[in-house]
Amino acid sequence: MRKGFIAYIPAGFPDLETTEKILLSLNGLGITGVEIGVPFSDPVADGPVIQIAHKVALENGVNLDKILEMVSKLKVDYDLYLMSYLNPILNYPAGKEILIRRLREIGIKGLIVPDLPLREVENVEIDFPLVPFVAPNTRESDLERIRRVSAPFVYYISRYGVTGEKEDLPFVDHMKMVKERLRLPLFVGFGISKREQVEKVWEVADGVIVGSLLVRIISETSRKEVAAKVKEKVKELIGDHS
Amino acid sequence: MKGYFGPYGGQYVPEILMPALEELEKAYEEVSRDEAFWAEYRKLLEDYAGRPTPLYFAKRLSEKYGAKIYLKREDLLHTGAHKINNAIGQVLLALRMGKRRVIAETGAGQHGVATATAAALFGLECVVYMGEEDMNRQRPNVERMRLLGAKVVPVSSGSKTLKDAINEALRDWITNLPTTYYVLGSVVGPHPYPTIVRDFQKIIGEETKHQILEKEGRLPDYVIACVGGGSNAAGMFYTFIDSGVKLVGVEAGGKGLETGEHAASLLRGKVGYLHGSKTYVLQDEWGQVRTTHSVSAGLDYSGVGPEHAYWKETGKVFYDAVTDEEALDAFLELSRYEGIIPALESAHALAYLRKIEDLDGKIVVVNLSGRGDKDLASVLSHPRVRERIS
Repeated sequence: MRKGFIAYIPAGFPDLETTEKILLSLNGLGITGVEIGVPFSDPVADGPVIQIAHKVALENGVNLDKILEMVSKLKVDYDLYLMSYLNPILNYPAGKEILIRRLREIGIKGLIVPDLPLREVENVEIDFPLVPFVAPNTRESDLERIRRVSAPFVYYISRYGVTGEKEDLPFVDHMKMVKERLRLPLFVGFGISKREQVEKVWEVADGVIVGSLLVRIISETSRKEVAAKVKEKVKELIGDHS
Repeated sequence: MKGYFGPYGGQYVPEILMPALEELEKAYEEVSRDEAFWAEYRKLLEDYAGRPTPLYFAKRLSEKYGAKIYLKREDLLHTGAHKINNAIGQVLLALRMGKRRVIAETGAGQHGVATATAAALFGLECVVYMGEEDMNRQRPNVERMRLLGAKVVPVSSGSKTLKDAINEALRDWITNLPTTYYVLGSVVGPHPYPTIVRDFQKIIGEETKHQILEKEGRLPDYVIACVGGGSNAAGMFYTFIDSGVKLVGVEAGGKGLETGEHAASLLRGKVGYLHGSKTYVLQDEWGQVRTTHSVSAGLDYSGVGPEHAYWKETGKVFYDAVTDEEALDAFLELSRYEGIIPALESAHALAYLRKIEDLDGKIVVVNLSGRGDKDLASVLSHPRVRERIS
C-alpha cells in the first residue's frame, strides 16, 4: 500500500540553485508534497541538522523574496507548502497581506508555522491555510478546535523533542485516536527516517513528513550529486523500486 | 486578554509546549493563593539569601551629583545578584509540581549560579545552558555552577549568547517535558513566565518603597534600573507604576545606538516574535533576529520582556540607553566613591545619573542589581579602565 509522503527541503541549503534542482528531481515519484523551509535565525523547534541548514542559508543571503522568486518559476507535480517561523512572515518587509497574496499567486497550498500554536492563531490574523500541529500531549479541547479549521493536512508531531532522525515510533495508539477524531489528512513527522517507520505510519495515518534525514544527505553530498541522492532516498522510503 | 500586557506577550511556542505551559499556569495559580508557599519563599529569602537588602544612602556619590542617591543593594544577596529571588521562587514551584530536574539558560551566569544554588539547596538535578561566548567572558560563574553540582552545557549555535542559550533550554524542555521544570531567568518567554518572574522579583520594589518612606517620608523622584530581559527593572518598577515616580529603564547602548552594535531592543527594535513572546526585537528587514553587542553579558539580548514593551507604549516607564564606555566609567566611579564594585549590568543604571538634567536636590533610587566580581576580567582588560588604574 502506498500513502502520503511530504519532504522537508530547506531553501538555500547549500544554495538556492541546488534547492531548485532537488525540488525538480522529486517530480514523477507521486509524492504528496514538499515543505519548503524558510531559514530563521532562531529555529527553536529544530535539532542540530536543520539548525545548520538555516544558518548556512542565512549566511548565503537567502530571504523570502528570493525563495518565492525561485518557487514561482518551478514546475512540479506535487503540492508546495511553506514552512516558516512566525517572525519572518509577520515582519515581511512589504507587509503580510502582500506576502499572502504572493503565496496565493504562486499556488502555495499551506503555511506551516512551528511557533504558532492553535490558541494564538486568531491573534495573528493570517488569512491563508495554516497547517495545525497535534502532539502526543495535545488537549481534547484543541482537537475540537482543529475540527473547525480548514487546512490541507494536520501535522502530527510523533514524539517529545525537536526535529532529528530517530528509529522508533512511539504514540502509535494516540496517532490512531487522533486520526479517528479528525476529518483532515494526518501526516506524521519528527524523527521519521526509516522505511519501517514509514510503513507503520501508513497503517494508521495518511502520510509521513521526512526532514532531518534528507537535510543530512544534502549536507553530506556534493552539489553535483545531491539531487540524485535525495531522490534515491525518497524512493527508498516510499518503497519505489523502479 | 489573558497572557498579554496590552498587545504584548502571548504564547508563541511549538504546540507541544502548550500543555506544559498550561500545567505551569495552573500550578502557579494554585500557589498564588497559598499563604504557606509564600511564607516559605519569604523565609528562604530572609534566612538563606539575605533579605531584606539595605537601601543605602550613597553619601559621596550624592555630594558629587547634588542629589540624594540611594542604592538598593541587591548585590549583597547570596550569589551576588537579584537573580536568587526568582530562582528560589521557581525551584519551590518546581518542587510543588513534582519535578526533580531543573534547567536554566544564563547570560552573565548570575541566573545560572542562582538556579544551581537553589537546586543544590533542594537536591535537584540541574542543567544550565550558556553561550560559548558568555562562558569565555564569565569564567568564574561557570566554575561556580560546576562546584554547585550543575552541568553547564556550552551553546555554540547562533551568536553563542543568551538568546541562543534560551533556544537550547527550550529544546531541552520540549524533549524532557514530563520530568523537567524550566527555570526561566528573566521576564521574557511565553506566558506565564513574564508574570511569574516579575512576581518573584517584585519584592525589590516593595522593600524599596517601605525603606524610602521610612528614611525620607516620601516616594523618590526617580527610580532607575538596567534592562536586558528586564527582570530586576520589572521587580523594582512594578510597585511604583502609576505612583508619580519617574521610572527609568536603561538599555545597553553598546558602542552607540548609531553604530548598530548595541542591545537596545526597546529603543531600536521592532515589534516581533521571539522566545514565545510578542515584544520588541532587534531584527533585520527580513525578520531575522540580530546579534547584539554589550560589554555586559547580562544585557546582551535581542528581545525584552513584554511587560516592558507595554510600559514603554503606555509611557509608564521611560527608556533610554548608555554606552559601554559610560557604563565602564560608572563602574569605576562607584568603586572609587563608595567602595562598591557593581556588576556591569547595574553600572548601566548608575551611568544614567549623569544624563538626568534636573538632578539637583532630587531623591533617586538606583537598583544595584548585582556585584561586579564576575566582571573583573573583562573590565580590567578594557583599555578605558586599564589606563586609569595604577
